[in-house]
Amino acid sequence: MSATLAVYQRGLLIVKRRVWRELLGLTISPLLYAVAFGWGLGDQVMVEGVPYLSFMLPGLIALSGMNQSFGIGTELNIARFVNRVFEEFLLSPAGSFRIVAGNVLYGATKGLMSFVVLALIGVSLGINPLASPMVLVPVTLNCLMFAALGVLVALVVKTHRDMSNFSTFVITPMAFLSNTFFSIDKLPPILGGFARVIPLTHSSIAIRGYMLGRAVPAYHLLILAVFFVVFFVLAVRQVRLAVD
Amino acid sequence: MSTILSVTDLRKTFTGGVEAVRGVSLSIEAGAIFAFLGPNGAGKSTTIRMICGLCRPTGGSIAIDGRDSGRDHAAFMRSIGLVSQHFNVDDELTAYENMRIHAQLCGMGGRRSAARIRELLDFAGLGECRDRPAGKLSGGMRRRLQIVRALVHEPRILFLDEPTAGLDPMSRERIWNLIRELNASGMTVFFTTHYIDEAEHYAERVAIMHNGRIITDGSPVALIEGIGPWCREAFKDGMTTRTHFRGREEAETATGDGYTRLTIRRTQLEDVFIMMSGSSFEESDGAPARAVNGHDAHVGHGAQGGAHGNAHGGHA
Repeated sequence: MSATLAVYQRGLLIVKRRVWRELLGLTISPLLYAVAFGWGLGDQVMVEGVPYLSFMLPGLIALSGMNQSFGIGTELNIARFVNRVFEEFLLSPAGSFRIVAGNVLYGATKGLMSFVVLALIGVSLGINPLASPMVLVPVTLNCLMFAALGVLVALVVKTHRDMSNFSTFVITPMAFLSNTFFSIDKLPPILGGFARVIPLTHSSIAIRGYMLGRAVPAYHLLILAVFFVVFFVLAVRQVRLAVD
Repeated sequence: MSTILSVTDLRKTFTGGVEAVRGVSLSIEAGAIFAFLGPNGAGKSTTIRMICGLCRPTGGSIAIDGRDSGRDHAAFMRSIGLVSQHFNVDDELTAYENMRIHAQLCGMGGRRSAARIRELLDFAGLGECRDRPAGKLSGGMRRRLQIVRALVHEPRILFLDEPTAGLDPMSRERIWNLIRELNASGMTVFFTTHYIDEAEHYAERVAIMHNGRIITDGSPVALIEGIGPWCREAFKDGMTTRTHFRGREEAETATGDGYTRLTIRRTQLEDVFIMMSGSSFEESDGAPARAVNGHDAHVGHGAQGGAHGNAHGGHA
């Protein structure tokens, strides 16, 4: 436990050192989305029976959570290939599980920080993101899942460019095809089928459901949990394979 | 003295078939200061990284205090400390925080680690910089921080991979004073270097590595004695001939044919390397070894004056 906390605290100390930069980074992107899509379309457009802003904000929460949590991958990538701090983890008796656990917790914390920022933006726009406290379940699972994916990818790739390519070819398309800005029912059948199996879709559906007071089928949460466990286990396995 | 490190037939072939380490075997006694000497690309860092678990060996075995690296990973890692040749400290964390995180990673917490960290920072002359971000420390200070960080968990053996690479002479000296103090207090020290003078001055025992193999191993004095402590360097037509002798007088009176300049000097470890490998340190950076041809093998040198030739010794 001490080693997990060490990895986690290291991340938090770094965030503390760059707190204003971090907060600005967490705020700017979702704020721009909110302004461009939310205020731009405002209350005039209704989607699934609610104003577009109310429809979009849960998607934005899922998207920001993904981006921030997955961002741990870029940090680990730098720790592996640039400043080599990752060697410190490998040289300790901590073991793979604790190394991954600490990094996943750190990544998920950054994702949850983005939720807090977006919740405040939502409140300022008259939307209560915590109408149901249950929303915290998919929000947390979303952050844990993408933090675990970030750690896994960072340990699999061999260069900094590979990490960037993964974001370009996987994360960015997922951001737009996962029920975030529009309903996946609008997608052509093939893309719609694809959208239903990618994890962010289940995050945005579950978060939106709880925020809008709708019934959320449990399988969405189950799928998020399964993705999290799979990414986590693969990341643990990858730690030793990343050595060389 | 008991054996603390035992390495048997260690091998590493990287993807693509590059054989970096080709069967290294060595054993080191507790309390020793041991140097791995060789040019860049000789396989020193790969060997040390395999011993420390940062690189998977293709073959061979490693044991510290009789404990195999494959068994009880945590205990094995607790028994070693590694100072990487990269400045792998967290620049944004303070010196103290870097140490504290390492202590926690090793399962040390609370007052015990706080006292030890304070003691180690003072020992390294970093006590007053404890709250300064590591990124704002000089190269020498960061290296000292790396060294004491590797000692927080009280390892049995300290590995230093090129500990003075890229440092100015003053910082190098300070680092070596620190390492010698550690060794004097009983710490086993294993370092790699391509600075010949460091191996010669500081190590009790040196293993010279070339092309992934240990080509010779012994105390600096014994290695030099082995080829003859006096070297006669004769320059002729852009060629250097080196011949080694037991005594200075013998070297001075030895006959030679029409040289333009003659130097009689003490044999150095580099001469041992040249003798054993057939090439100089500089030439060995990726270049094939040159042939040694009996008594008077001649090797041409480049434009620079530092000629490196080979000649098998004429010592008794």
